[in-house]
Amino acid sequence: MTAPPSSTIVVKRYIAPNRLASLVDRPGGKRRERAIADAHRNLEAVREETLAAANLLVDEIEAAFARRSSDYRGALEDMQRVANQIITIAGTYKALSLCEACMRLCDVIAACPFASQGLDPPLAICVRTVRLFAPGATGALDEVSTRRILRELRQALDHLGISMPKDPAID
Amino acid sequence: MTRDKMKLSGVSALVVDPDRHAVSLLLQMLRGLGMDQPTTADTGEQAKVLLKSQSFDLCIFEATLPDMSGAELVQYIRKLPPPAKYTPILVVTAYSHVGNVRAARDAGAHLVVKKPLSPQTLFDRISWAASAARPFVEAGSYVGPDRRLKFTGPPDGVGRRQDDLPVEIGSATEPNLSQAEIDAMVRPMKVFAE
Repeated sequence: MTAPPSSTIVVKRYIAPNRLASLVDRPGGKRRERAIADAHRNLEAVREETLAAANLLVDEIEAAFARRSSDYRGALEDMQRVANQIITIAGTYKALSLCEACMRLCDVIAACPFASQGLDPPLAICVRTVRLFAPGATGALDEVSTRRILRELRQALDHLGISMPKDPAID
Repeated sequence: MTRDKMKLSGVSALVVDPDRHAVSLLLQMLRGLGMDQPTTADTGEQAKVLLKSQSFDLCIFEATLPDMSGAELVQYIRKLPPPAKYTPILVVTAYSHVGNVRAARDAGAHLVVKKPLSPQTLFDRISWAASAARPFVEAGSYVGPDRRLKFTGPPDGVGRRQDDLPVEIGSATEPNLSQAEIDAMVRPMKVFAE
């Protein structure tokens, strides 16, 4: 048998053992509907405490934004990390306006390294929007106001050319 | 492939995510789906230590870890000796740069899933990762599941794999079979023993 030329990539393609496959197909599994209902029930059991935690996370975002003049990069990283945490919580409990506000904040943070001018004003708008939609915010907004705020936020960011491309690799 | 039912008790899972709220929600969902207590880690280094001492049937990683990227952890697993290197890996991300997502995919993750995960999504993705029929590929620096999910023929009609068939099969050398001839070939026939 001759060895392949050095420029050739040898591709091995095979069926690998998958222990997970044999485990999930054992008899006595949970039906999909029941498993999903049980998972939802477990999530509901921790709804209050998790949303309360989201409120504290909004405080963290504001604190990070406030110290941006002394540590700009660190503040942005912290804001992005905390916004990601809020997205997870808000999305899980269908607090979609809070989720979207955090995503727009992440859009602005992602654009900061490439911006020719400071993005403080859009950052400030996003942080205030996140606070408006926080679970413990005073004066809950009605549906129409919520939609209007989010639409105008999107328009403002579009005007500044700030939006992340969607990636087909993400499910 | 989505199953009607799955048995997740007895499945050992490793969840690596520095966000304790995300971990808490994920564990609630996994327990609801029937999984026993999954193992958790906050950092990539913690995960590596666990991977050296235990074997896992499923790994769920956040794309951005404090000490490394989820992609680096996926690559670490793909370099482990079998059967650990074949472990199904889901990488989850709330808001991540496109580069991070591509890196996780190219490192050999089975799936990249966007947070927040719903119980439906989690059930279906675990079911899909448990598909025994998905081939594994080792090609140069890539080790992981075959990313070609649909068979659309070889790229540009030029096959590079042993089982790729050429698009051009040449001109017919014999006349076409009639339908009667085809029927005769597939019709059950009596076989007489000698």
